Amino acid sequence: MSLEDTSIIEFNNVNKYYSLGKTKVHAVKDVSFSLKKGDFVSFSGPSGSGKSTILNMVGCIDTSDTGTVIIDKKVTNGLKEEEITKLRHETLGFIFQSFNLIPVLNIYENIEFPLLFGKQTEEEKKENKEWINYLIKTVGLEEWREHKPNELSGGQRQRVAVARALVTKPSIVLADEPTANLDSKSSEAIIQLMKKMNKNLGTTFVFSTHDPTIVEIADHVITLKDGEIVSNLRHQQ
Amino acid sequence: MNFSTAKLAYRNLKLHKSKTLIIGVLITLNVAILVIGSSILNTLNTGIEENYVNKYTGSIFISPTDNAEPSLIMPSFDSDGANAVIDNYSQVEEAVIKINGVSDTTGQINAAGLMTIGENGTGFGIFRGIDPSDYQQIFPEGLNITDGSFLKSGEEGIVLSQYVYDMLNSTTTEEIKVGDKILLTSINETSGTKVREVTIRGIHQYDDDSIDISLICFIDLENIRALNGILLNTETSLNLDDNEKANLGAFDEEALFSSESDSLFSDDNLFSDSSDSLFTTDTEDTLDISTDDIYNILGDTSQRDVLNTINEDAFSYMLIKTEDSANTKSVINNLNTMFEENGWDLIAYEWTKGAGMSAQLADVISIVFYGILALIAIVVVIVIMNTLVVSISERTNEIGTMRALGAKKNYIKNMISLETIFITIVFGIIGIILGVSILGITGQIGIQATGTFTKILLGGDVFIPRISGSSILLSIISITIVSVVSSLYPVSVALRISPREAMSK
Ligand SMILES: Nc1ncnc2c1ncn2[C@@H]1O[C@H](COP(=O)(O)OP(=O)(O)OP(=O)(O)O)[C@@H](O)[C@H]1O
Ligand SMILES: [Mg+2]
Repeated sequence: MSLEDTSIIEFNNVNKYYSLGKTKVHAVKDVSFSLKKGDFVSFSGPSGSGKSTILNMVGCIDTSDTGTVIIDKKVTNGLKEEEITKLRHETLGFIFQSFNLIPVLNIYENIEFPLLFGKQTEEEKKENKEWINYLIKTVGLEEWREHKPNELSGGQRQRVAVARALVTKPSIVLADEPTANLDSKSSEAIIQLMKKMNKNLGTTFVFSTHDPTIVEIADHVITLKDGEIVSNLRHQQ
Repeated sequence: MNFSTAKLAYRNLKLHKSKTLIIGVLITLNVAILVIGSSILNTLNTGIEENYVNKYTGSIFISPTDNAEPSLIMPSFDSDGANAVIDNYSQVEEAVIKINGVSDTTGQINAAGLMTIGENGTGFGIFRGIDPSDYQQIFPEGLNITDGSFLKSGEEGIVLSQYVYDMLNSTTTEEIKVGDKILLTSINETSGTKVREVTIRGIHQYDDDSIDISLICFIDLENIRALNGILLNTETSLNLDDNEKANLGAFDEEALFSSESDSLFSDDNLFSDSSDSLFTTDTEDTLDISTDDIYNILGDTSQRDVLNTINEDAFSYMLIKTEDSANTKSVINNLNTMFEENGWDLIAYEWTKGAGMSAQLADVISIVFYGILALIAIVVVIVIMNTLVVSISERTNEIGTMRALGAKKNYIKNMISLETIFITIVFGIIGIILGVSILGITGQIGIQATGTFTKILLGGDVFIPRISGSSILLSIISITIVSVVSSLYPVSVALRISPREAMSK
């Protein structure tokens, strides 16, 4: 089936428990879904509904207790630490709620940072330099490339984070509430930027968000409640 | 515009200035203390060594194996050791001088005793029996005669130390002069009480004497052998009655050692097969023939006196000067191998073994100093460890982010280790420079010794500490260990940080 072929993320009957002292929290309850390559996907739902938990499992930061999680045709359950690190580095990009830029690195270096963990030939280094410059230009921070993160506004920082998430040319970018720490104007700009990148590069974006703007422009919206999927809608474009 | 882990580590240190400084200052102080302290100790030790080796002990000494507590300064009070002697001294000396690295030898016999002079003049001292010309040749710096002269070869007499002279003088009404006779009494468990009258030939003074050394009086060999009861037949001397003891004190040398009496020493005539055993102290054969047998063989008393004659070829110790002090250990090994091959019950020691309390005090100070330093090092390790752990827990989010972005555990480990290595190298070097400069300044001025105790320690009035390469090497090694040990736990904390931490907040 054509939908199966283009599926990039797949959850099959995934359960996740957390133990809080003596009580066990069933954070994700028998969740199954499939996300299409190149989609702009939003997970929404009230606080505590399991959005972050699901995103963390996509990002291989957490593992499911039962069920399978398939990322880019690879079953992630039972992978070794090293394989997970490699998968994260090659396939996934991250945008964090609180930006998480490295304070001692300037903007250019922050964007370049994930590239340090892979091998680069001289040829690739040159290409990557151009690629970073292109990203800096695209996110509109050319004048800030030598500056440190603490000299930038929140919106600017998150734009750096977007560029950093894309620098390794990942097939998936994960963003857990990327606009939660931004004012509405900056949020709007960031969302537009991400949508642009999604279109230009074909990168799959997966969000968890309360932000109605994101939900509005998303291709695929999954709504959760108490760890269960209450609606799963994909707009046909 | 590329950057490395090193650059990142450097910038992190710059960003966390106060923590870097806390750790840095600790390392600087620690290294400076180590450099200064161990340089002072080294100077102290070389000072003491030069002093002792050149003035009192030589580099090596040989002692009979059965001397349980060999000492070149104090007499051995051990009942076995008191009379333990190298009884075939000239034979041993001949073999020793052939060993590579040995430059000179001299024999020594120690005793201790009371002294009486004039009207109720009393005192005590350590008697050091030596051959005057041999002794002066091996220790040219070791003597400082303030009155009279040193002993001359073949001459009976005593050279008092200034300290002993003062002690005697303070108890007698008439001033003691060179040329006066003095009565020496030695008390010795094995050979009983011995009394000898000797002539005061001179007064000497060591310029940096500690209590034990200040008691040393030089005395001729014959008298010390008599005082120590070192006789040809020690078993017989055990049974001397008072009358005989008195006899011993007054025997006539000339008569005993005339050509006629030489024949008495000939093995064939007197002792036949068992003769050898007579000259060793510990064989049972000797006891078997013992007094009665010998009396029977000898018949008249003049011959018995000869048996009681002082053993002229016996010394308590042989002191050895080496050509190069660096070879001391190998010379000692060669000597001991040679003794074993010859079946001699002798053992060669380094000078420190017999050097008495001042030399050992330096060892004690070293142990205390390095003990304190080890404690400081432990405290420093804990403080550095704690500071690093705090600094890492403040960076949990940052490290988690790095892991989420694809940083392997190794990368985090390298980053944290590099930070520690940077601090260690930079502040370690500052510490070395600080220590060396402080030593340099004190080297210009010198440390003034005030009390007697410090004088003994510092080996003179002014102490000039020398900067030693070994102390710098030691501080580099120890600071490396400190930094590695103190970063182990913080690194493990950093490695436990999961990428999930990037998500929190
Ligand atoms: N590390 C954890 N330990 C224990 N319980 C956890 C942990 N993380 C999440 N939970 C619980 O799992 C459930 C789902 O939490 P999750 O963070 O996924 O919700 P969320 O939808 O992201 O909420 P929010 O909108 O507030 O971010 C909650 O009940 C939460 O308390
Ligand atoms: Mg959440």
